[in-house]
Order: sequence, then structure tokens, then C-alpha cells
Amino acid sequence: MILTRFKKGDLFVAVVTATLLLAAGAAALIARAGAGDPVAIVIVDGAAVDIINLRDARAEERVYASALGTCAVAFEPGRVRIAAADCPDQVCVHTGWISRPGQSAVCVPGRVAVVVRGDRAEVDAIVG
Amino acid sequence: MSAEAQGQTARLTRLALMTAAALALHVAESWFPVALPGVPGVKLGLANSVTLLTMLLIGPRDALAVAVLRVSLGSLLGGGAMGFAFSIAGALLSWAAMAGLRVLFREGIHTVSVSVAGALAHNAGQLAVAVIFSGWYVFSYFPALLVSAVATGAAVGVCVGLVRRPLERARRAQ
Repeated sequence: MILTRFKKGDLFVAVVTATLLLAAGAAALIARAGAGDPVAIVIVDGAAVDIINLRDARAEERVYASALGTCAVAFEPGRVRIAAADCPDQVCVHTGWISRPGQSAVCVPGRVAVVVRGDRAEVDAIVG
Repeated sequence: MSAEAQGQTARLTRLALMTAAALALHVAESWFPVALPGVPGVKLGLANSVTLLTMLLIGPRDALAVAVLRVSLGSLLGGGAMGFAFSIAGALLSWAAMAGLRVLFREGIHTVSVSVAGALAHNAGQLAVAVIFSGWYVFSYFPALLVSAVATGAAVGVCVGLVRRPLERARRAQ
């Protein structure tokens, strides 16, 4: 009843959606290929303050303070997460563990972010 | 009461009803954050279904009013200034995309497609706000947000499609 007939407008939306999906998929693949070791970059108030190679990371928790709040970031061998934040929405905490290049946990209200990149990727391109 | 005044009252009542429904969904939705590993802030977009429904049943202008009222009132109930910035960007872009498609294709497009386009535009708007506040690296969420927009947009579109016909029949029967 709902998907009775494929109309012109549906084709338009399907083509736009498919193009976006393909572009995003290609971009993700390119970003991942040849990226090297996963490296966690901690960004506070728009500036990278810590860069940690996750392959040889020790299990530890570090607390970062920005102009707008504080975030506790937990490191483990191969992965990282925002363990606690004093922001109201807790979206960054719910993001959970991240480990692959391209993933990130962002505390938007607190202006703290943890980004995983490959160690061969340009750091400046991420922070700028 | 004149016919014109009666029409005005009917419109006011309909808009109030739609806004109330949208607001209820908006607030209820914030209680159940969808937890996907590695992807923050994914929502079903149930509140947006009322924007779409209003657009189909009444018209795009009233749908815009419902969307803006819902986001404004919803932010007062919870979410705050930051939540408002995210919600309003998403709601406005979503409305623009859905209204644009309706103008462009009129009945030549399914509700599901309009809904998917609205969800995509909604996520694009939210991502734009996130870029402003955090920087370009939030773009790493883009692929996941795209996929979730297609899924949630389609689900919401099916719901709206199911609700639309009975409501239209009910209004004609008045």
C-alpha cells in the first residue's frame, strides 16, 4: 500500500541518497587505507593537547579541563573512550570505546574531543 | 461566529494539536537515546514525523510553524541553548528539504522518500552545527549518520504514510 509505485521523485531521492552513501563509503575507505597505527588525539578547545599511539598505550585515565568543562579520558591498549564528562547530554560518554582510524568521541558542550587517526595521517588537517 | 473566524479557530486548533503531538514525541524521544557503538546522538526522528504529517495534511507553512514551535518549546523543557542550536538547524533543513521536494514533485513522490530526504537534511543540519562548535573532525560521523538517516527516515515515512490516509478521510467526513 505504501510502496505501491516508484515515482519520479522517489528516483530523485534514491539517486541522491545512493550518491551520498557511495561518496561517504569511498571517503571512509580512503581515510582508513594506509593510515598506519591507530593514534588517539585529544583536542581541547580546538587544539591538540595529547597524541597517544594506541598500540602501545597503557591502561590509564587522564582528566582534561577545557574552558567549558572537564572530561576524563580512559586509554587501554588499542582503544580509548571518554569515561566521564560534566556535560549535560553525555553523548560523548555514550559513544563508548573507539579504536579505528576515523572514529571520534566528541563532547560538544565541553569542547573536548578524542579522535582516532592513523599515525601516517596529517594531524594539522584534523585540528584545523 | 463568521465562517472566516470559524476557519481561523479550526486552524489554530489543528496547529495547537500538531504542536502538542510533536512536543510530546520530541520530549519522549530524548528519554531514549539510541546507543550505537561509535556513533553518538542518533535519534529516531519521531518528532519530525509530525512536521511531515502537518505538511501533507495542512501545508508547508503550517508545518514550519509546528517545527519551530516544537523545537523552541522542547528546548525550554530540556536540552538548553546547545540542544536548541542542534534541533533548530536540523528541523529547519529537514523542513526545507521536504517542502522543496513537495513543491518540485507534488504527488509524484512517496511519503517514504520525502521522509528519508528530510532525515538526511536533518542530520546534515546537525552536523553543520557540530562543525561550527567542534571543528571539521566531526565529519568522521558522516557515513554513520547517513546510514542511520536512511533507516530512521524510512521508518518514520512508513508511519506517516499509515497515519495520513485515515486522517484525511476523517477530515473529509467532518
